[in-house]
Amino acid sequence: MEMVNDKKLDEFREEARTWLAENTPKETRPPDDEGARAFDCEWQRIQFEGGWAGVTWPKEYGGRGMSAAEQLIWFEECVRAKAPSTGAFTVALGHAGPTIIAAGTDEQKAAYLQPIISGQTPWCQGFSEPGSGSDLASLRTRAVIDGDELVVNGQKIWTSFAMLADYQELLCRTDPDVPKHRGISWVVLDMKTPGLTVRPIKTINGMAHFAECFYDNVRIPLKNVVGGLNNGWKTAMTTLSHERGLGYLASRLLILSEAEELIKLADKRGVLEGRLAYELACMRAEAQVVHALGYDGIADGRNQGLIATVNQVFNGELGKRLSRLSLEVLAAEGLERSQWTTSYLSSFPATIAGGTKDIQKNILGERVLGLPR
Amino acid sequence: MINLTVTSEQEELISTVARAAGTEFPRTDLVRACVEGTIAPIDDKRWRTLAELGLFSLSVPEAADGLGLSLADEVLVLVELGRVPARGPWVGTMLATRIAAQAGQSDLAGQLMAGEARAGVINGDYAVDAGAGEYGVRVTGEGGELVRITAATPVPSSDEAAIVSRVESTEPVASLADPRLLTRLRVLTAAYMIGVAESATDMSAEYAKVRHQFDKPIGSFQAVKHRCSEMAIRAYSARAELYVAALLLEQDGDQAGVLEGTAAYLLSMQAARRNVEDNVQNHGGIGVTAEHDAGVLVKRAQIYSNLGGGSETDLVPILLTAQRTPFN
Repeated sequence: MEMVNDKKLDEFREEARTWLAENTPKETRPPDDEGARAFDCEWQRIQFEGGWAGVTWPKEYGGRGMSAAEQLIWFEECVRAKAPSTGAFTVALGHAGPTIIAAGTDEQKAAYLQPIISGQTPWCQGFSEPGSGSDLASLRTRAVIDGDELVVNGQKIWTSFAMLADYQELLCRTDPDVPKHRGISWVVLDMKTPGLTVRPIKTINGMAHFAECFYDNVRIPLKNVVGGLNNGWKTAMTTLSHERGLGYLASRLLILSEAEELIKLADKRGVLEGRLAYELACMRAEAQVVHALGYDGIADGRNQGLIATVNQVFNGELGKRLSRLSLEVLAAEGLERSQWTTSYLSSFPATIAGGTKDIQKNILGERVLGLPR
Repeated sequence: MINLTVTSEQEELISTVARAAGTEFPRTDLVRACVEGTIAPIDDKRWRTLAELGLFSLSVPEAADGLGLSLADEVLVLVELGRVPARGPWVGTMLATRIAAQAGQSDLAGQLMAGEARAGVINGDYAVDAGAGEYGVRVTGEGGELVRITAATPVPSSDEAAIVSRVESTEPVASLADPRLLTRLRVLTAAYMIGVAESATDMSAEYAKVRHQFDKPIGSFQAVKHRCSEMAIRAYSARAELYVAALLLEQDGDQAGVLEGTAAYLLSMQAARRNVEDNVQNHGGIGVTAEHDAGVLVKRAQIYSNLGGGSETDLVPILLTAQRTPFN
């Protein structure tokens, strides 16, 4: 534990700051699917051409091959520059890419990584099913081998970015006769494959960020299995731990500026006193923790499983509380639809997606504290 | 750049302190105090044993015969002392050494570092772990004052393991003008409270594995399991914040250290308070008895959240207004 004066890191930060100041898009992300997709692809392409895409991705796959410290600095600078989020590339950069890097064949790496990092192919995630949420391993979407193809039938739900994506990382059951964790495969699905129907799900906030996917005899080449047939659970877990770790840090750090913005709003409206002042002060203290946990996560010798669940639960709760507090600050103005009310109506998935806070607490209790199942 | 990797020297310091504190200041002494309603003063030999490990020299510059380390090292030590939990004027003596050394009182600083003198903390009318004839440290927003308590009346303590007295008069010994000293007190106090909060988590998790009801360990019930997990989350998140605070407070520049230190203090106070209470709940009836360790933690949290750092409400203005240049 010490302050490190590392000239190379300082220079990296300076370089990132300068580049972001010159290259961050000025226009906002369009709300429609097509516009959003084009915007996300363009921003990813700009970063790639500037040499900033995939800071920790190995150089051979188009990344910068740097350490987690540089990744953290890059995320900090993105927040500072108000750069766009990864958007439709969230799954591609955060799960699918890292999984293929970790478990893919040379052919798979050659086929999928370059189009991701250079901003050509958004991905989505086909994991959850109507009957398999927290108990993800009970998933029933069935894939039967037919020659050199898998034939998939079933249904997925809560698929983010399904309407914008070219590919899906799909978990399906390839062996129903073994214990549930052992009969699953991780497969790359081309979203243009016949038999796949995508239906958007409109949520409380009025938007359709999620979708349902229906698979009716969808044929996928066997060579699209990543990490080995029936080894999909293990393959997926590599991705999920990434999702809960540094992967979302850029968006998590936004809470620092959101907290400050809300305090300013409360002050402007003359309600920064009493209980509300106390609640906002606690929230700002907790927002600092989000940042501290980022540094904690890249330190040596930490229990990454513990950090992952702490991040997930702590940030989820904090984000929800922040938008709930904004309603109190707004008072009657909250009757009107605004940035803040939309943010409140969008806040609920934070403690559900990627494993509900309840399942996270089970995981922490059992795997970290050693409590019985 | 903040680096939160605990160095091998720090690991060594942590384990040495944990071992020595567990032997010289065992938790059983505190349980006995709770049962008997009284505790003997800390004998000089025990205190010196810990002082000889360098506890009170850590952040004193080498030029002043200290170890020339940092607040981060003091914080790591205090977390371990809180985990035991060990009684004694740890925080006051650490601050006293700093004040004496910086005020050029090298003899007194030497005595404090060697464990030949100690200093409690004075908060308003009360002194904690110091009585008449002993040293006390008073910290305000402007800086700190090391005083000798010339007259004080002992009062019944809300934690039998702490000596509390009402201070009637003091005489000045040394002072240090340093507006950051209050945050330093808060960070040191926070460290001990995080130790207490972690200790409560560990105690609950262990009990939840062995206590059976309805033919199952109670830790298999989600109501208990989730409460234990929430305790772990509170302690862990506060500790991460504490680390950042300890490093940034010793940096010159903007108010980042003050903001982070205040946040760490608030969150550790909440974590300690909630965790010690949840720990009693997890133990059921046995948790409220005088001979159980759970009560010791409740009382430690009560003492440490009143060491002069201020109440949660006192922290609100800083948390709302402190400027933090983002990401440098």
